[in-house]
Amino acid sequence: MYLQKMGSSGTGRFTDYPGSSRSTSSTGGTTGGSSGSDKCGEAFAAELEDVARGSYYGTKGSLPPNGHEFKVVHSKRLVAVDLEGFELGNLPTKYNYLAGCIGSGRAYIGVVTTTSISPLPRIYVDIAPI
Amino acid sequence: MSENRRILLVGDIFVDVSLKDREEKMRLGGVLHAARALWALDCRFDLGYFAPTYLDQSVLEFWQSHSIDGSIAKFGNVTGSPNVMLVADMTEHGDQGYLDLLRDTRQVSLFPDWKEGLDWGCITDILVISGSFPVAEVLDYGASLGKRIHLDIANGDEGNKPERQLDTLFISTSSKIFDREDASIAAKFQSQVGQDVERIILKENRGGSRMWQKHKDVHQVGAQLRRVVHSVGVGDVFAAAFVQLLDRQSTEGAHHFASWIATNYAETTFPLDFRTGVQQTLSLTALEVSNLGGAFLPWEIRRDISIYIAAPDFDYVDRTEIDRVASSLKYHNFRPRLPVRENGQACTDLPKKDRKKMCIADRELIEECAILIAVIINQDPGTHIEIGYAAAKQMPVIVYDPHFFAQNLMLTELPDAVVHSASDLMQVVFEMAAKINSNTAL
Repeated sequence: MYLQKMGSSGTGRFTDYPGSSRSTSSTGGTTGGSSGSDKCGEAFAAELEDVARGSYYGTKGSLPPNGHEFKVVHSKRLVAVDLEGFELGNLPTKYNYLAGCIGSGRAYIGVVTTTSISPLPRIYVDIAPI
Repeated sequence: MSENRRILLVGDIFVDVSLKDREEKMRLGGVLHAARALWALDCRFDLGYFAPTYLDQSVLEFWQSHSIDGSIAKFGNVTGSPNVMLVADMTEHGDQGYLDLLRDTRQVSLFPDWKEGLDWGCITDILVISGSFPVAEVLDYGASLGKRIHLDIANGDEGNKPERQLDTLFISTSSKIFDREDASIAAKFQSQVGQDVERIILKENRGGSRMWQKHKDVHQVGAQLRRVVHSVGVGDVFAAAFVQLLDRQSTEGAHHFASWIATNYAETTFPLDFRTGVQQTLSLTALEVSNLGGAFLPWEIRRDISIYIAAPDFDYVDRTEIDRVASSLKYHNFRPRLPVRENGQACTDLPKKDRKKMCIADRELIEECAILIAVIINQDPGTHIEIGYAAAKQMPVIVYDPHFFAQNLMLTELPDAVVHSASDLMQVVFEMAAKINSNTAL
């Protein structure tokens, strides 16, 4: 997967020009101007940060059940906010690129997959574009 | 802020080749990394370059295929070297192991008429990516015309250090000329600004970057820690993006965006994907980018972060992966702690009291550390126990599993992260260490 994501595979000639069509090199890598993949369109799993400081845990004193739905809101940080407006926690900063995707018109929803209260409250989620 | 900034990029052109794994990777590098940044920002710019003659046609094809609105001029020839850079590690999880072929026989000379071929009247800024060419002569001419001068000194020799007024000086912790042992770099840089340089920016790899300006507090920007596909030329992209964005942002805003755009570059080698990422980045405001945060971990404080390496570090085992982890941590200025090498290796006939002493010493070593990395190269019970011990103490635990051995439920789900590449390992180490640093600062 790592190898196929390089736009400059092979040493016969330079292949990473914007106008180059996408093709597979003799050694299996992808070459050309674009990978054809859309990072903004990818679903992923994550653990939320700052759960203890979120308004859900702060107000209810408990964690949401598995399957609890939320949307991703860009509010200073990227925040998981449920349908009642409670903040479950922040997305880790490695997902900050989603802010650019949201700025380009995308939207994201998610569900809680599992939680753990001890020793620290933790929420694990799945997130996908809509 | 100023309007209608037009940059002249000046630098060498190289062919970057990675020979890692089964597949070779090759593309034009050197100053063209910075050129890709300005192309992705959709701005007009010019290029003055140095390269061997055989690359001239490829450089022209690069320029034309990117439809760059600007002028290109060859400032000088390179002889005695093909300007080919072999890169051992594309992702800079450790020393990238650059091999500059025939660097000792390289000769670079300015053409007598190097200044012709460009409309100097249109140029407002000159960004020099230092190399083996006569940097001083280019800087002097630019300064004589009243241009703003920016210098990225990462690849330069000591002899190319600036002796004239600079707008921006870029330095990198990845650079050969960076003094890795100097704990007083912050004070030194603060004292330099306002004298012969307006601002100094230190690029600190996965730990973010800092900017020193006169009469201002140091400005810190966290790194965006996403999966790195390559690290080659990322610093040059940072520099080019920063200078260009001074056109429409404050220096602090340009600093933030430069960090994001450098990350966009590290995520892909497909130029159109890079440009899409840059345009999405620019859909945000400087305040939004600042508020989103990142991983900030200054170079100097990493030495105080001890990281315990739990592993079967025995003399009868192949320790390649263990050494790789320790070496990568040291490269990024962390302090790896290896219990077997520090406290000794237990043999089967070791007396009970010595076994107890060694166990206590290893346990106390864990207590001294901030993070535990478990290197899974076989099914070593000691490593597994140390994972459990650290997890119970709520210490951040990372499992580095290069051979995909980890299958047991507790082994894969109890740690904070399980990674399979050295690059992903360093990403997670920086994430965790930056959080610890942030919590400590609070």
